[in-house]
This record gives sequence, C-alpha cells and structure tokens, in this order.
Amino acid sequence: VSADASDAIDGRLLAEGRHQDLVARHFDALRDRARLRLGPGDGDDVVQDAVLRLLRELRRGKSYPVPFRVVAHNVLTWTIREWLAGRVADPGPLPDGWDVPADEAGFAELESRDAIERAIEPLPSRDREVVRLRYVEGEEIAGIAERLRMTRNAVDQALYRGRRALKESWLDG
Amino acid sequence: MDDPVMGLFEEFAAARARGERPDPLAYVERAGDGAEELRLMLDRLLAGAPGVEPSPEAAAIVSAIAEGEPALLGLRRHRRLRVDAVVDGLVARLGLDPADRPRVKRNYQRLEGGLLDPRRIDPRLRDAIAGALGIPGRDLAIGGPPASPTPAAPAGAAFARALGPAEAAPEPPTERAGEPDEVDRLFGLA
Repeated sequence: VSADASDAIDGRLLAEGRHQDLVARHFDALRDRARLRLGPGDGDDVVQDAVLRLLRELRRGKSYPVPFRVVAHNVLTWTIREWLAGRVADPGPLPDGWDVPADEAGFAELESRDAIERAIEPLPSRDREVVRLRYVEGEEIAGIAERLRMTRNAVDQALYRGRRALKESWLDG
Repeated sequence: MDDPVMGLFEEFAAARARGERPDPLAYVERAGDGAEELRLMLDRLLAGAPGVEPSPEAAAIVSAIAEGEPALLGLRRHRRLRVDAVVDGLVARLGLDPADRPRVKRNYQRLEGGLLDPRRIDPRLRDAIAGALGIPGRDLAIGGPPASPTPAAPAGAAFARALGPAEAAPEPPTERAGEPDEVDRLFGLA
C-alpha cells in the first residue's frame, strides 16, 4: 500500500467515524517513537496518553488540513514535550494552537515524507526517486530496480547517496 | 555498505518494506557507539509514517484505552484468557514455587490494574507475561488506565493517574515479614 493509498484509507476511516481503527493503524509507529525517545517504560505510558488525546480530538469532530498520520505524530510530539517538561499527570486537552503550524515548517517538520524530500533535494532526480520509493513507499530493492529499469547495483548506489544525504540533513544539519 | 549505523538503518527500512514490524529499540541496541545517531534517524523515519494494517494487539490496546481500561487488561481480554490461566503460565515460566501462586496472582492483578509501577518490574516478568498472553514481547503494554487526574507521581503518567490517593502512598518494600524474595523482585517490590 503506497503512502497516498494509506492516507486514503485513513481518510475513509475518519469519514466513517471509525476512530479506534484509525488510531490503531498508527499505534505501532507512535509507540516505537515514544520508546525511542523515552525508553520502553515511560514511552509506553506516554503513548497511551497520546492515544487518549487523539481519540478525544477525533470525537470533537475536527478536520485537518494534513494527513491524519501527521496529526497523530504531532499529538505524540506535544505529549512527549509535556512529559519532558514535567507536566505529565494530566493528559488533558492540548494547548491552544497545537494544530496550527507555528512556523514555516509547521506540520511538515514532523512528517517524514517532507523531511526526506528536503534532505534529498540536492541529489539527482533518479536518486531522489529511489530514496522515495525505498523510505517513503517502502518498496523492495528488486522492485525499485524493475520499476525504474535500473540494475540492483545502481539502486544500491543511489540508496547509499540517499542515506548519506539523510544523515547529513537530519544529524549534521 | 556505508557505516554501521546506516547499515542498520537500511536493514530496518528493508524489514519494514517487507511488511515486517521491526523493533527499533533492538536495532538501537546493536548500534553500539552509534546508538544515539541511529535513534534519531529511526525517529525521523517513523515520524508521520503511513498507517498500516494494525496488529490485533495494537487494536486491542487502542480499544482498551478508548474504554478507559488498562492496556494489559485489554490484551488479556483480547486473548480471551482468564487471570488464573495467565498466573499459571507465570508460575510455570518463571519456575516459581506453587506455594507462591496466590501472591503472584495478587501482584499480577495489581499490575494489570495499574497499581504497580510497570517500570520497576523485572524484564523476566515482562517476558513471562508476554509469553503467558501469547503475544510478542514488544507488543506488551503495561500502564495505568486513563482515569481522573492526580498529582504527579514518580511513576509514569498513566500509572500515576491510576492511583487513588491512598494507593499513591509509597509501596512497602515487601508484603511479608523478612527479606524480599523472588516474587517481590519480579514485581519490583524489593
């Protein structure tokens, strides 16, 4: 399932009010990020708070200008931020403006697709496409080679350049 | 392959591409000196990742949270297991004395209800609970139920919320007279 198709499924679940099904589709990634940031113990606690907040937000019937996955990860980020600031006892409503981009990056800052796009901007277009297919769409190397009519070795080399760009942008930038 | 961190990053991405559910923490553990670097890279990769068909465990946890129940209780109900079956599994898996079974049951029920700090329990108990429930270890979620707010406690947020005022008092080191034993250590009471 491509990223766009996945977003479409989210949109359908949102429209049908199937909030638990919608949130469950993102639970693994949210939990994994919470555990990466805070460790398994606190991460598990914080992700439960984030899920609770998400479900409350959804019940309010809000609509969002971005894919739901961006909303979900934004809520997690806010919840982690509050946890780190010591405001952890009450997973109450999110603060005003949490869903309004605070700066130019705004939501996009939190979306891996855009973060990847920005990081690989300097690369040739073929390399960018390879990186997109691999890290955004999750395609296998053999599939990428076939789709783009490249050798497997050429795909590997493009991915090498892509990883280097991601690392430079995400860690060194 | 480029440096080891990027090698692990690629391996993680490849596993996801195959539709697997790789545990990022397991990859970070393998990264040695590059652990922090890999942690940041994986966090960025996962941020806003497209939704996937949820595992039954993920669906059960979200459902439990929505219902205001502890996640661990939701997982047990999802597996259609009685408490006694889980406790029998724990006693057997941990090689405990059958005479300790009542204490194991009482402590498990407290853990399931969010009345014990999940961060203090022994990793062997986590593994045994996952095994007794028949779920992958990484899918085990232990935390308190979303309840009314209480003042912050040294434990996790959900755990802290689960505590009533009386229960929020510090736990006695052990329920019995004498030195803490294996059951106390497993449940983080020692």
